[in-house]
Amino acid sequence: MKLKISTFKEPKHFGVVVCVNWNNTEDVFSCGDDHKLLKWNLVNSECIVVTTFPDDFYPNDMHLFPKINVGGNKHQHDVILISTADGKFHIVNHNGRIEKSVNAHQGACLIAQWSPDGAGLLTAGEDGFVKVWSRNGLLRSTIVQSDVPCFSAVWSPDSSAILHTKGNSLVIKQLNSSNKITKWKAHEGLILCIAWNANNNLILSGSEDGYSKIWDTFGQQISVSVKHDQPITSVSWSPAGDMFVVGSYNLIRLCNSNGWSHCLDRPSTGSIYNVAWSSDGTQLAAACANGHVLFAHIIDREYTWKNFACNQVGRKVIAIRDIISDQSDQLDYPDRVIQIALGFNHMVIATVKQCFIHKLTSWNTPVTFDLKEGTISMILLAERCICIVERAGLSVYSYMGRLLASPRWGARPESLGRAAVSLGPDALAAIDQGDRKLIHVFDLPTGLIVRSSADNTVTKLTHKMTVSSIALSQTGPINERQLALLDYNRDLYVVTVKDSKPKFIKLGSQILSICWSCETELLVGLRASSVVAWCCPRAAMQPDWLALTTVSKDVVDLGRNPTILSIEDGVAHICRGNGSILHLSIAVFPEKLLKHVVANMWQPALQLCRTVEDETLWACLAVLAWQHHQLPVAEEAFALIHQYHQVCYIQHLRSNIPEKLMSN
Amino acid sequence: MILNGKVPVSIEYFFTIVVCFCCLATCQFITKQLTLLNSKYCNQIILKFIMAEELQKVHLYYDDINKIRVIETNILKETEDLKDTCRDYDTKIQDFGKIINTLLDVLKELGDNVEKKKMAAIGSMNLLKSISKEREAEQAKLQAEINDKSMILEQLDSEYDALQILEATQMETIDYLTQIR
Repeated sequence: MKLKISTFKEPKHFGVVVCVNWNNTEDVFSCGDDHKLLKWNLVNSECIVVTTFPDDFYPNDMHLFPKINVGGNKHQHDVILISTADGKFHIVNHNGRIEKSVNAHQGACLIAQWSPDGAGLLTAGEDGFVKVWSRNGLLRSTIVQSDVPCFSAVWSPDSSAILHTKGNSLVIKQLNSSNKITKWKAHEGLILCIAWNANNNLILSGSEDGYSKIWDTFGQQISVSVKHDQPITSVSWSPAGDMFVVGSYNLIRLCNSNGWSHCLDRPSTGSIYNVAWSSDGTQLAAACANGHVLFAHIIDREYTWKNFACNQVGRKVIAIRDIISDQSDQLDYPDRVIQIALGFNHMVIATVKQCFIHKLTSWNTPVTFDLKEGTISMILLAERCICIVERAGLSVYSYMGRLLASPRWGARPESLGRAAVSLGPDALAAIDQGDRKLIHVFDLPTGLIVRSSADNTVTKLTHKMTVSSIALSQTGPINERQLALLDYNRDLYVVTVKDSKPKFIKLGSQILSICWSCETELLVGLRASSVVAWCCPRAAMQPDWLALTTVSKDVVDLGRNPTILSIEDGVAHICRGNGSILHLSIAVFPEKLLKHVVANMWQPALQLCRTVEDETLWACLAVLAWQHHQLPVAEEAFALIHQYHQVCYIQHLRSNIPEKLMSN
Repeated sequence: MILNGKVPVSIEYFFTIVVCFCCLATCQFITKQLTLLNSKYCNQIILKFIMAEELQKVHLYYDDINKIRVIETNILKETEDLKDTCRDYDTKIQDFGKIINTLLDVLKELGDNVEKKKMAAIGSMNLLKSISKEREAEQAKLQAEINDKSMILEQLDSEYDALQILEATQMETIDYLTQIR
């Protein structure tokens, strides 16, 4: 992954650019020490001066009103909050007219931020005060008073707390309970910039000591960057939380959320005072000390699926390659490519205006359909449908480009992470953003069923703990749809969605990441130093069966925070903490067996087991045959894994009531 | 004798005797005259001496060309010597001044040159320093790039290792299965 950096030839600001912010995915506002507010349009490469402020107007921070889908006058949302060096904050509309100026601080007002829900705003100043104001600029409360200047302050994603800097410490202050604060020493030098991501709930800090560090909300260090020669002047999370960017003197670095660096660029721009991501997470704008506003696109994103690999080589160009037949092609799109998804024999490309569905067997004739809004944050693929997450909401399409459903549950889709949504072939599951114990599972209309709004039935599952990650099984009929979930304690549970009384069955603990196989009901989980495959997650009713059908393999040096990307034919693809991909053969035969079972081919399954002579495999076959009421197969399998009581039971059943069971 | 070129010897002798007589006569005359002149001159000198002694009493003197002087001759001479010496001194002083001025000019020029060279040296020294700093920065930059690349290399290496292990596993499985058959 790389940054493709572009600047306009002439700097349009005379002097330092202090702050930039995206209006939408094409428009950027920037404000600098030359008192000008500029608006840049990236599509037609235009830059217009919105307004020139008075000569004593030296901006420090700028924040556009968050794009939230709430009712009310749209005009009220088009406002910019700017803090200035004379201690004031100003509310400016998009035409550049100052609507309100409020005296907020002694000395400079360094930070001004709208709350994510748009209900209020915070300011922080050189006098060490952090204050919360109502939307109209009336003082609500003074949150923090201290004797050192507060250089940076941000809202928590749910607007319930404030994170601010105090010298070289970070402090989280809860707003509702008056004295609950979390404070920790974060750096050796003064902390200059912080960011808090809504998706992964992690905090990023950059300091004068040249390090940028990632923290969780308890102040535990997740990762630390390499040392930079110059102070870190800006940090910013991508909206999806999978990347962040660090700005310093003549330096801009793109990092993965695990802290390792994707790429490093050294534009000669002077210090980069502010970096902002566009809401689709593919573009960056940076405010530079030499008067330039720097724009960067993320290119070189690589995706692979089976024998296909695709790579975004330019803003509008995708290179696709079939490794087996060595066919390759460059696909050009009319607009900028935002999101790419590859899988299930399809490649789905979302550009600003349209969505292209390419069949991998004939990728030159895509199915296209128009998108509602150019802010796609995610594309999920499943066997029969595509889920596109836009700011306006989630939509599920078929591979023919037909809209199947638009599930709604009061979510803010732009802050929806990959862990919080899961798409199955006929269902969509999502964690509720308000109450994270609650999971919504939407049934999707499939095949040729005519869509009507009524048949979108929703199943609500409530776990006892906060759920951090969910995954829907990818095969099987809809009434056997299983949902795997990781909760806050890193315990793995599996629940069958369509049960009348859904029961959460615990499969294991200390699981970091989970993934279902695309073709079978094989669930793979990742522990700190091992990979575990549950071949029959539904065998969890009987603990001894679960133990027998579980394969575990020790892996060294997985690194910090590894994730499992996919599992294909029993080979797990794991992204290690350092960003390298580990291909681990863990359950090749069980997956083959599972495929036979899905196809209802019991004889080949038996043959496979007899050939391989593996106890786990026999156990899987036994359990699956038992569940599918294949008593003769189950009998043989149970005998071979020494479950003689079960053999006796089956023999008893077969001799007594054979017809009834066989008819099932 | 001039007419025909042949002078008879007798005539020659005759002439010689005549010339000798003439010479003698002339000598006698000149000697008479000289003695006369001498006596006259001596009188004058004696007069002069007498006069000088008289004049000396009122501090007046004669000089060599018989001019009356107020100052004694040797003093006058010394004074004149002094005057000459002073003039010499003056010209020498002027020369010296000129030399000094040229020296000063030369020195000033030298100073200017030195100053110029010094500035140039400082400049080049700074340049050198900045070059070394630049070099350091460049080195740091390259080092950072090397670090980045080596990190990527590490990633790819471990990925390669993992793939090799996977290949080995798969070969093993294939071998196992072919053996069974």
